[in-house]
Amino acid sequence: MSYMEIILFGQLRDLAGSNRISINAMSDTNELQKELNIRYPAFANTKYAIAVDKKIISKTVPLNAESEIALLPPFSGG
Amino acid sequence: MNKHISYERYQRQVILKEFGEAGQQKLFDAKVLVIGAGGLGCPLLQYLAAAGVGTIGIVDDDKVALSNLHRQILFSVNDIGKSKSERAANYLRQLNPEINLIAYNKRITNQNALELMSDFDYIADGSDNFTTRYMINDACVLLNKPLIYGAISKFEGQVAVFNCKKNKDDEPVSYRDLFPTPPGENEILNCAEAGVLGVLPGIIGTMMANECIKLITGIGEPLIDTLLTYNSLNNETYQIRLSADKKNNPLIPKDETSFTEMNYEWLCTATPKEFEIDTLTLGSLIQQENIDIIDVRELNEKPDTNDFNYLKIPLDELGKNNSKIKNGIVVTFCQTGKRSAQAVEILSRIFKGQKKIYSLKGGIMQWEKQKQDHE
Repeated sequence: MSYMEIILFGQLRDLAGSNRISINAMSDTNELQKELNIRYPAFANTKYAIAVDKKIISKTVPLNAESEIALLPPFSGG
Repeated sequence: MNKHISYERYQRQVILKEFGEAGQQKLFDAKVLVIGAGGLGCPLLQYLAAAGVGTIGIVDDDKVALSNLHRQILFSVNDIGKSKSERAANYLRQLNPEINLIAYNKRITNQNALELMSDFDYIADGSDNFTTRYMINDACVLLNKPLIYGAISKFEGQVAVFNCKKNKDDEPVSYRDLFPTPPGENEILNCAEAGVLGVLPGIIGTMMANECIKLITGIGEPLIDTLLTYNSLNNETYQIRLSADKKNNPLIPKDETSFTEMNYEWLCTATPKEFEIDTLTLGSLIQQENIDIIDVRELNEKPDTNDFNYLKIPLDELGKNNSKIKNGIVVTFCQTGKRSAQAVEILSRIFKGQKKIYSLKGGIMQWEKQKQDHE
């Protein structure tokens, strides 16, 4: 079983207790989100953008074990 | 170089060959509106004024408080209780009397934003709430003005340049291409709730000033279509490419009238309860006749349901394809309730209070689950 690494930002770090998490490799971003919501239920109530290989995605995209995934919540502070 | 510009003051930057007298002249001719004279706004304003940006507007309706002073570096204890925009302008006039500073001691809203912003070439967002941030973004799209964006949370910051084309034929990228709709009220904490180390807005605000100066003078590579994140605890930076996404276009008001009629306050603070209905409520609503139910998923998405009649209008078509929506009550649904929440936003703007518009919480998945639970 291969794993994929996910870089977290903002309050997702607090929710997961870590800057990076690794989970079972998923075939696409939709599957990834489902898995994240199971592993980290608080993520489901948090808004965030998903970047795959340093590009923001706007629809479901396929993933592989080498994909670099980052989850970025919006910040409002000034 | 224009005779009003002091060569001596700017000598150290003018001798940079990439910048030169031409760069100084471009700064002098530029008009920048800084929204928010707070943690981000103070360093941003300080560097723009010091660098010689010719006209700087400062919008803020807030007053200086003691708890601001650890990060809002233009103010002193003597300023407590006084207008931030006026005190900031006063400080900056002493720093650089050669430039024009305009203080707007008022809150920027969708009622005055277009007028305020129309006199400026560049808009810098140092505000501290989503209501203002989404409104500023939409106004910049409407007015076709570059937006220098910065935002912070605890030890992290984000910087980007929106609504600015690298090449003539590019589609400009807006904040909504990163985060199409605002988070719910309790989803993201603000600085007052989450806290912030004073140096962080200093760094991010200074980065905004740097981006602004690069944009104006045409040097280097501004963060156009790029989000930069910075973590002050470990000094990590991370850059992400952004691209324009047509399906976000309906979220942005099309003209001045719809912009001023949009309820940004509601959009950004509405608790889910206000427009979300649960499956039980939908169960009783479908008994009524004056209701339109709309599936906003893509046409091929499953599961379908025979439990009620509904229209199929995918989210990205709602903006133009809505003539079939006739009834006074509208319930939108999708797979999980996320896209239908966006649909409520789009339809609320189109129908402007003429209809009651709801989103099915948990989507069709929740509807199916609840049915099984009862069987």
